[in-house]
Amino acid sequence: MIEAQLLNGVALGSILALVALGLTIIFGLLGFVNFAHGGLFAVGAYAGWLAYTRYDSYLLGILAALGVTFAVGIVIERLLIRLYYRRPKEDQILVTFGLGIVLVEIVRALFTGQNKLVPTPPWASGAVQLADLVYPQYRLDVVGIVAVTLVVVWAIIFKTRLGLIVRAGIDDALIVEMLGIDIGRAFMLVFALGACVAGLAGFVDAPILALTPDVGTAVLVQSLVVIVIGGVGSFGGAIVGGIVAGEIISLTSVFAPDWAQVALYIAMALVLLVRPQGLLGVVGRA
Amino acid sequence: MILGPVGDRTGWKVEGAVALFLVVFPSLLGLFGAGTDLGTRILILGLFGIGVDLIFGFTGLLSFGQAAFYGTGGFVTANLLIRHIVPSTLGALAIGTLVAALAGAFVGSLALRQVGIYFAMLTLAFGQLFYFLENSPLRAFTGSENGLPGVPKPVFALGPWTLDATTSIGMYAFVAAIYFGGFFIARRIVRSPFGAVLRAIRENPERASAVGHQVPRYKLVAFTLAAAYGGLAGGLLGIFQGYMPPEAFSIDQSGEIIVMTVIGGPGTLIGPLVGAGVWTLLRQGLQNVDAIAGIWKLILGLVFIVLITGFRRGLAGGAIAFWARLRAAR
Amino acid sequence: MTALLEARELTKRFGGLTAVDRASLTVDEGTITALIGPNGAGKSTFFKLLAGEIEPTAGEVVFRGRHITGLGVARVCRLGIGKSHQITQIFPNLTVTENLVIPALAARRGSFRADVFASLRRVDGLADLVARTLAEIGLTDRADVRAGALAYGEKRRLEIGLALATQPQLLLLDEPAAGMSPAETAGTVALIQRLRAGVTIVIVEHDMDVVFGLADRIMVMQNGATIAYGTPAEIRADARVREAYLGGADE
Repeated sequence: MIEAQLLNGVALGSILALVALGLTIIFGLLGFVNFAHGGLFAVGAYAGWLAYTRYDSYLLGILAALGVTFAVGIVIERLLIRLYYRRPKEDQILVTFGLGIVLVEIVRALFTGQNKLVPTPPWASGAVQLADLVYPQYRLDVVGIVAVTLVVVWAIIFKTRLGLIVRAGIDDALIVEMLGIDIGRAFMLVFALGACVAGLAGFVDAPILALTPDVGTAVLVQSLVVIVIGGVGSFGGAIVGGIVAGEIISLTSVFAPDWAQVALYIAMALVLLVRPQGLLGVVGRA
Repeated sequence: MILGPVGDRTGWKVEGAVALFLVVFPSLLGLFGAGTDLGTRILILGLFGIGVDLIFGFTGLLSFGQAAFYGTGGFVTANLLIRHIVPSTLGALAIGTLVAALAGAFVGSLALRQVGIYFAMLTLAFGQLFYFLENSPLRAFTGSENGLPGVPKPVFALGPWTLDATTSIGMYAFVAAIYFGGFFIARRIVRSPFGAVLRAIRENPERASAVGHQVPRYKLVAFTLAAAYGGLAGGLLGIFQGYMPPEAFSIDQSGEIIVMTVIGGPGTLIGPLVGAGVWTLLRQGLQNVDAIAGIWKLILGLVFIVLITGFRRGLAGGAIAFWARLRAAR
Repeated sequence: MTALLEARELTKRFGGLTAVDRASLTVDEGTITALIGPNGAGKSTFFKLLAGEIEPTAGEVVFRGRHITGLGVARVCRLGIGKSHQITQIFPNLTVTENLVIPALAARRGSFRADVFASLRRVDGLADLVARTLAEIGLTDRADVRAGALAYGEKRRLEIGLALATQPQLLLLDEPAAGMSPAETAGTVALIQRLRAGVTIVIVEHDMDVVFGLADRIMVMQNGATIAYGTPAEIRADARVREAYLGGADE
């Protein structure tokens, strides 16, 4: 029985990790707090839904989610975000918070506020028997999708020139510029990367959640919990944070269901008080 | 030589202007086809916002969890009145405010151990914590998603007159009186030596410390005061609506009050009132124009972004600065 | 003369780097001590240790016979040590007067009071202290200007003013003339000369004319350690000092 709950925690946690990943990319690489994360999640979810239901292709849905949020990410980085890199963190929080509201409202205006049902793709419908727990196939597939995404993102950050530039630029932007490298462009691409991962998470998560424009706020808050627990600016942290958060929810749901969500935020507060950089985080990032 | 912030030169003029405004506000609303109740709602948010302005506008602390105190004050007051534990409305409000202040002192003592973004995230975590406490474990006292209906409205006998808050205008007068009291006290606070130190903390907390001030204690007191204002406003909300809603604890509420404060103008005390007015009236006004009814929040979001980027003073702040420049030019 | 301040074997390590290495200093009341040394010698870090901004890895600071190590910057200030920083740290959106009110409030009314209903006008001696400090730093005619709008030299004077308004017994000045024109530097020197009657001063400076013109004692640091200490004449003649500066700074 306990194993089933633990497994449930992992599955839940991997979704949370995917959702938080976009946030931690931007926070970790750019040192920038992106409270528009939930809005980007919603944009991706709806863009993907549109493509999926119109063309009956899950793959197209994924591409739409990625493409649209990547483009949105580029636009907002160019227009707004880059004005804020040197401004105080509070201002970054405020402006992206406002941006999140704007994105959600645009989605609401385009798609109305009604729930949209995103069907599970046919190749992933049905359930799987795991010990005494019957588990939706799709949720397990999501774990796979998350794993693939993490590998791809990791490769981009650590194995490409872009990633190298950004990581160097965090440490010393002036030197990088003096080497003739356009650090601004690199920042823009990283922001767009974080945005499109958020959008991807939106679409992938859509069959599990009820899709409304307001889903963004809850997602933002959950993502913050995950990266706080796991560690700000750490990719391993997003995974660890996600799984820890998933386990907290899963296990307290069994023993004290009333306290599941409360337990999560108590954990978040404790980490912030005792070890603010999180389990795997590096001091000094924020 | 003038000592103290710009506001000190104004004597009682600002208080007088606000009092005058409170008197004519219902009529102004009437001119635009809006009811008195809308004004009451704006005042309640404005009162909540005074507390937020104290910590954000004056002390530079960005808290995403102020709804925790708005809700706490609201539900304590509502419970006391519904269960007839405290017969007096003012007594119930006072207790609700006090409990909210204690909650503020508790949360502040923990959250203020961090600064900047960690502080913001801690307040967010606590806000959510309160929200989910309301939702589940404490549902016997809060009604969970349903909230608490049946909050009685007061009727006051003031000598030969009666203030009947069961009427729209009576309720408005009741809330306006409390708003004015809260505003008056806040003005005293910000013009006091304590208030001067808060401003210094906003500008340069390290230097404020270096010149001898115990910055953490100032922050804690400010945070507790803000929680008290939130709690008082929450209590009024329950009484005004006859019903205490669980959304009072929501993160949306925490976010909205910040948006209102920024739009209205941080560091002005009336900023939140202006912001609440803009928010509420825009939402109400655009409802009636079918074509753009759904996008009032989108417009406000854009206004918010523009103000943060280029016009940090907000609407009221900008107006005050403009006024000051006019007077200086004379 | 009594020893006002004693720094005993102060050491500060940041990970593998030893920024200050068993540096000691005795400051007598009523004197001006200059702290000099090449860049990276540890002067600023040493100053931060004295002011309580950071805690030493080893060693202690004794002020007026009292151990003040680890008390924190606010307590140390209240005990009588004021510091003016190398990088200007003012309150930009407050006026010059309001800037000076802040330290004066701590000096006149203590490090914490929840006097939320009190009036600034009634704080005993506040107006007087602010006015005197304004006059001292020569910013009386700029009193109502927003501090962020001041010229660089004026900001540096306000920076000193903020330290002065804490009514210190020991004033630490970290490169007060940094970035100033010769005329402004002369003005700063004159200010320090006026101040010496009422407060003991320790000053970090690179300008040797300023140093040798003002100081009663000079402490020379290199690589975190004290390499010389004495009167200006002694320091001028010291071979180690000359070597440290690789050819000397003046003469």
